[in-house]
Amino acid sequence: MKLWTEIARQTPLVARQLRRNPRRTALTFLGLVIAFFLFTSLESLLYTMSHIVSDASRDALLFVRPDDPNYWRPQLPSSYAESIEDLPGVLAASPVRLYFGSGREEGSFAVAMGIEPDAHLKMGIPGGTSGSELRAFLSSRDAALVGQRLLEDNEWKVGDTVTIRSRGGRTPALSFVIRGDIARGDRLDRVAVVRLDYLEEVAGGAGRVTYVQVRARDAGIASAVADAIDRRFANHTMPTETVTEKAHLAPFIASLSDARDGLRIVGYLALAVTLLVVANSIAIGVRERTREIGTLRAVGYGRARVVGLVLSEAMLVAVAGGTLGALFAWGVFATGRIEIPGAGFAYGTDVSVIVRSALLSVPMGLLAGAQPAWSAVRMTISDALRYSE
Amino acid sequence: MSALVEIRGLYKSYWRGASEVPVLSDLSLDIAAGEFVALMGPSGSGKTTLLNLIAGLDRPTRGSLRIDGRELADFAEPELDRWRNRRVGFIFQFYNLIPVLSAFENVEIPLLISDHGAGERRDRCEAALRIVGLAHRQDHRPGELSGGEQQRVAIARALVNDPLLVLADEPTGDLDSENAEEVLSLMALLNRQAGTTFVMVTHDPRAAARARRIVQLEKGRLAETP
Repeated sequence: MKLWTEIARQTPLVARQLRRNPRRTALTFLGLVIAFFLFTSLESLLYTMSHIVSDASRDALLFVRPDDPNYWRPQLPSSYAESIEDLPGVLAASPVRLYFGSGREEGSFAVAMGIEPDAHLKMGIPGGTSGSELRAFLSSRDAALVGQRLLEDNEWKVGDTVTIRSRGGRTPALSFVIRGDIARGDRLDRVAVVRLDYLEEVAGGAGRVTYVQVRARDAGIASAVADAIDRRFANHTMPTETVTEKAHLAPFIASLSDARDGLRIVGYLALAVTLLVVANSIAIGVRERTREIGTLRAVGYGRARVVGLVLSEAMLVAVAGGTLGALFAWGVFATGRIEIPGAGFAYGTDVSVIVRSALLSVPMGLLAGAQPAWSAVRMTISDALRYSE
Repeated sequence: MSALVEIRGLYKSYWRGASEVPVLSDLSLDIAAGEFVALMGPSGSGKTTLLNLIAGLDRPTRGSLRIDGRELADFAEPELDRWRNRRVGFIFQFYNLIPVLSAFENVEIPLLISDHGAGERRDRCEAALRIVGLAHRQDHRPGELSGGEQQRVAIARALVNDPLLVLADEPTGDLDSENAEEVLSLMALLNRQAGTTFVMVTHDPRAAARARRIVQLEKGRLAETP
């Protein structure tokens, strides 16, 4: 008999067996959904980590900061930007000053980023910002382009005049008019981009910035450009430390990389435990049906066919639960709205991660069904027909 | 009538630890096509073992067991599976129906591994259920049927492949007298009218009385063949 005919004929029997004890099947199924959700979530986290690293390594962005542990303070002369722009291999250099404070809620975290528009826009226009929004931003000193995440966190919208208050009130509050938004997923989706001259006017300390952002002509020469920049300022009063974005993210990546193996082990352990649960559930079902299996074999179902039925049952529940769990993870993480705690990055995932996770349910079903299938055919038919619990 | 089942010098033993326990010893018996034979005897006399050997569910230790002219010991396991599917019907004491399937689906089970198409399978199942008087209950599950009805579904399942031989192991053992009588009447009717060969294991003399021949076993040997 052809395989597809066999499958079509036996599927109702396999599916009905799962309805024999709905509570057991439901609990097994739920366990699978949870395990595959957890596994896919961890795989998505690993995917996100690897992409942060690989995206950063492909980027030609450099950060020139003071060679000082307190480099987040605005202390770098903004004139460094012009000097850097003269170096070979540099496409653009823009001084950036960060302003840290609270948004709508006291204690919330909001960041304004002061830029020189002409210099900074050479490095690219923020994602999702329209031409009219950009023109509105350029035409007004107190205008800002605000990232979607910051807008949502503070329930701000384009057109609002809003204020970021510095922590501890040591620096005057920064008010601005939101003239446009920056799309979710852009590297600036958590900040308010304001004009540097306006920020200096409000907060004082003109001529000093937090860092200079540089774009090299291509990623391949970024490291050489970084060395050239640091050499140029080596004998200045404020030496620099120029890092690639990858290096900029290094502390975070390093902390996650340490956890990578652990995360992977946790994911596979969750699947292994669930495999045992599924195998036990199928084994109990098979044991309860010993006499029925004896009857099937008596009426001509051979060992291979009975093994196929038990394996199909295990596969059906494993693949359905595994796929649903993986799809749940897709539904949660593909939105890009779930943040990795403390990292400032959103979980990402990919169809390949989901498919790979869901496909693991196939070997899981086979492994979970193997022992029960073997026990179903190990007994002689006459012993199976006599069997009573 | 020609012999459908020919048993010569049949011997069956089991190992219990290191000791061999004989169950059937030097048993010879012929069953003709169209017979209705009752196998009787005390517990442990080897009735069910003999039935299982005739069904090809178990292999004899030695001796010859030919059915329809073919020696069962010569069959490889897959061939024996196919042979049972096409040539043998089974009726069990506890019906052995699958509770999650309807009466129709239970009857269809042996056909699912045959070469019959969906239409042929449907026709055969409906005919078998009509014969046992349960056409109107074909969509009911075993739990919704009485014991007698469940055993009639099992009889329909045994008949659906037009077997050479129907083997029944205590078919009335779990039924009250009224239902037992109904089931036995049905088997006798099928034997008389359709010529189906029945071999039935029973403890019940009233059930045995419905057979055309009673074969008595005692300690694994033929005691009497009236």
